[in-house]
Amino acid sequence: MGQSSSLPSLLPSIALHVLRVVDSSPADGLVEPYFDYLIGISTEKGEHQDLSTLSEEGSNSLVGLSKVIEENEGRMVGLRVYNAKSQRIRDSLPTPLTTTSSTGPKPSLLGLSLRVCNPANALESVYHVLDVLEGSPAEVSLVPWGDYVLAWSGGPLHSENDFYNLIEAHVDKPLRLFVYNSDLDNLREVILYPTRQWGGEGLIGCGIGYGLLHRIPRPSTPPTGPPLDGYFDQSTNNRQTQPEQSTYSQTSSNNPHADPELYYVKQNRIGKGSFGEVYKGYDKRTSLPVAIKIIDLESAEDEIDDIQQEIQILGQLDSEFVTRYHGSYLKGSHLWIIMEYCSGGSCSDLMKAGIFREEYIAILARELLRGLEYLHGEGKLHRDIKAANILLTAGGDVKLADFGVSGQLTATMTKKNTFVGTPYWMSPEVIKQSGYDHKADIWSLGITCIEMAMGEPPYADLHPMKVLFLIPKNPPPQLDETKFSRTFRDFLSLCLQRDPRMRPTAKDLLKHKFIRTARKASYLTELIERYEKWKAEGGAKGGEENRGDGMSSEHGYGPAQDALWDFGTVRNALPPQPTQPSTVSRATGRPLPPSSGGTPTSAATPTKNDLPPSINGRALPTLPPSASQATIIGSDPEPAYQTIRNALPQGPPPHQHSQQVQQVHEDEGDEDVMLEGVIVPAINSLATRVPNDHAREALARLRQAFIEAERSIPGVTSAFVLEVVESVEQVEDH
Amino acid sequence: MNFFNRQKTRTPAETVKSLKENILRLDQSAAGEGRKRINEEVSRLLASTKNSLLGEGESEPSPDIIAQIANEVYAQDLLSLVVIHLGQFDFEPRKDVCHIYNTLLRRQLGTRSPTVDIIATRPDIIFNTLKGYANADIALNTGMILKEMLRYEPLARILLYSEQFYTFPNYIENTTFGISTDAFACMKETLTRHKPLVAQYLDANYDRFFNMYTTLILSANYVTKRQSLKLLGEILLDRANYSIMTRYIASEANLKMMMNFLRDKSRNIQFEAFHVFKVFVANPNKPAQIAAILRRNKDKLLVFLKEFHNDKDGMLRWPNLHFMLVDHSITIFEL
Repeated sequence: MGQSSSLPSLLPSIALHVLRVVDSSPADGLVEPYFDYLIGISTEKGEHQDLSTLSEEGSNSLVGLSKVIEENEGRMVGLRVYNAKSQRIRDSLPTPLTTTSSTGPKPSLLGLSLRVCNPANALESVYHVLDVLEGSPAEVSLVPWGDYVLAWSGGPLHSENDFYNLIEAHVDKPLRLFVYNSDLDNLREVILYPTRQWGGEGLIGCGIGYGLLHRIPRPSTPPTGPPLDGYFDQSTNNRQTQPEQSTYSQTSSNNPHADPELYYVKQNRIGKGSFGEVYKGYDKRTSLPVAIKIIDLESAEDEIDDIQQEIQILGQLDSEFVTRYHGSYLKGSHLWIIMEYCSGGSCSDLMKAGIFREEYIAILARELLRGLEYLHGEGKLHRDIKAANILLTAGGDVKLADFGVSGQLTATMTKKNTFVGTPYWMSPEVIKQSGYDHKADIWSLGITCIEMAMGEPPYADLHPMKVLFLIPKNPPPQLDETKFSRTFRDFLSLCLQRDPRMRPTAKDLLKHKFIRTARKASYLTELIERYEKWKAEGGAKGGEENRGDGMSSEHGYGPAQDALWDFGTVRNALPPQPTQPSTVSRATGRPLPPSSGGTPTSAATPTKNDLPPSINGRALPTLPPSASQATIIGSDPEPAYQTIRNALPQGPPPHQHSQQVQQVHEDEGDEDVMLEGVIVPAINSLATRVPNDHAREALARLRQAFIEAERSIPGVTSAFVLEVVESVEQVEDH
Repeated sequence: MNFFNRQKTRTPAETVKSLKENILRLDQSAAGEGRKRINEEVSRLLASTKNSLLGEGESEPSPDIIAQIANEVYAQDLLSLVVIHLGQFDFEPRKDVCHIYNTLLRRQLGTRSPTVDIIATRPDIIFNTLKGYANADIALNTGMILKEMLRYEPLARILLYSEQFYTFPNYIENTTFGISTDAFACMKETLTRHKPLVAQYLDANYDRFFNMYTTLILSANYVTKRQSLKLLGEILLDRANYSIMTRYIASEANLKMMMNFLRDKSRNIQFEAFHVFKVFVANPNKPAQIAAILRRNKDKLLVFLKEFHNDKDGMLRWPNLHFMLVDHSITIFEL
């Protein structure tokens, strides 16, 4: 290839080589690292500076250059850039800006790292990776035939022997290389450890090609049109027209094994949870649809270690009753988890068109039980069974999804003591923290059946924190005997037994008459059709799948439907955690009443112990079992609900509940609900338990102090309680 | 036990023997129908061995059968064979291998752990397990086995003192998230679980280790960088590693690196770097050049740290550090 003849004649002998482009910086997406060389700059005012006037030291001109850029902050500047790969000169027009995140004394205005060099011989000395031997140091980091070594951390390489000398000089030492991959058209950094110890021939164990035959293939024409199959031409276009979206370093996504956008195309958003967002997408290689769950690790509450463990669990599952896991990739600080896509939607979507008839529930229950039979056989728990986590394929196949909180039961640890799940579906033993096993999923399955039959789980109209102590206290929920068959109700009563040991296993339940008489799974397509029809008639207004913008209408918090109340996990979604009452009581300065005592002592408000677990009925004032919950729930769940909702970063409640919420506002009047509902009852409760009058007087003064503070600073009690809740959350994060 | 089925079923020891023969046949047979049949047989034998070891259904496994299987596994060199051939097995048998391996590793005779003793004489088994990270199909399975091995000090010692320990960065830097983080978790295990072992090693191999480790901290990969900074903090702040910490915080280059990370745009990386940075600041015997850098940047650092702590999240998440810093800013930067 006679490069010099095709080189533009106006190419200067000195240019600024772009080594790195900071993600999300003004130049990101406009300038291609390593292959671009800055050769000139012009401004809106018409000034033009040719960089060929730079001397090799060039420091004065460089200062001049950075001054030009500084003076044009906020205005577009023209960068004349030579691209070594396409051998073309082009102008790119970034706008220098100080990025807000930059905390350094000299924030970079364009986000470019540059070095002075001669662009004429760019890409002349590259080293083509040929065969890679098995087990060699090169094996894990270099891709045979597709990779080209361009440079190392010390700079570019100039002659044939440079690379070999470099390897010799780095025996048993890390060598950082810049490697270009022609199949994927990207550049990445690779660490190589040349060693004699690996047991094969050579220091790195791979063949290297140098010379005309081993140059990087170049695109002949500037590509147009959308990317198709990731072939060289198209992906070049892709690279240059699509700005990077990641918020962290770019090279991290340049690992050929890692950048998800090489393999997957992200389309519209289909869901959102406490963990992040879910998108529909497809696999570029097969065109098959996938679901893409995206978590920003920078803002995720979970430690990376925990997420890693979840992913390891996903990778060990292989069942037709469980959504399949296709891999996970890092893009900047965003983790893409690729899962099987189920076009039929979730049961909670399908329920928007109406509740399910018993015959459908029987089919769904059978398929769910098969999924649970598999999971439990693998020693794994789902821990978050609910309609929203049951997905249907177009053909009516049922899949268990969302293992966001699944935990592994190993032979040595059969009982979990962590508190996770969705409160309405939680079994008594999970809530009581008494340790639980796979039988907890059986309970949740029963609740899910009620959910599908009634449209919502029991207690759905109550505040979730309240539900946390109603479930262990009340008899198990039942369905109305006039509306549902005896077989169905018998099945439910087996699932919903308070003693987990009494509940049958998934395997046993598959033999129940309710399940045995269920029809084929393909009948479930009727539910999908019904839903499509309902949607076509305009029923899905505000539904997730119809949202284009992805921002305006999140799942609001509302007490009635699971689809609206995306409670996610208690661990992440709620400020107060009843798991650690001692921290709470320390934070509020109250002694800790033993929650195991069964009957909590005082009664600020009348207690109703046996609230029937029917599907309707407003929240009745109920006694909190421990001080920790009193902090949040108070004696009146509705106002407390208000506070919690406000404390969480969520959208407005869905309109069908606005009336109810309005009602709550009217009930509140001008009273501070936190004072009347939380603080005063809590102090009163303490007063009944303290040993002497002296202590009671102190408590009375405390109460009076709160009342007075509230009078002079209206709203201070609510603010105070929120502070406490937030700081408790922080304590627990440690 | 069903007496009449006896003749038909193989004893667990025979199963293990047959397993070995079939694994070796995998190598010899060409891909195709024959290979598939052998694979099915291997799957069946592994499942049966696992069930005998773990007990089927509700029944507990008998110690006698476990001993039979273990001795046959040792005798047939299966601990090594199953790791080497793991990539040729199907999906479920790979998981069975993990179960078998981990059960055997945990097996104790009095105070002895016979499986551990055997692997300790066969470092190649550990290294082959580590090499599993190069094969995405089995990386998570071998990772699980490796993690279990590293619970035992003799095995962790072999890995830590080996050349192969220095291949961890390869696996961490050049694989996808799931494998990369798993490899990191194993490296972390090697560097944190057996404290006296690690302290002794780091002391003797300080330069080589931190040369390697610095490449991880400087990684362009967000997760690698964040995790390795966090682990650095844990290693340095561990009491057992006191002398390593004093060496680390005497280095000007290390301080500069941490100060640059304080300006990283990732908040999490800032926080992890801050955990290390504060040790430089709190050092009562700062070398002159360290003190000079801190002094030179005193004003900027104070402004920066104020900002750092004005951030609402920062304040809430690190309330104690705030006060600690205010303290140190008075005593340290005035030097």
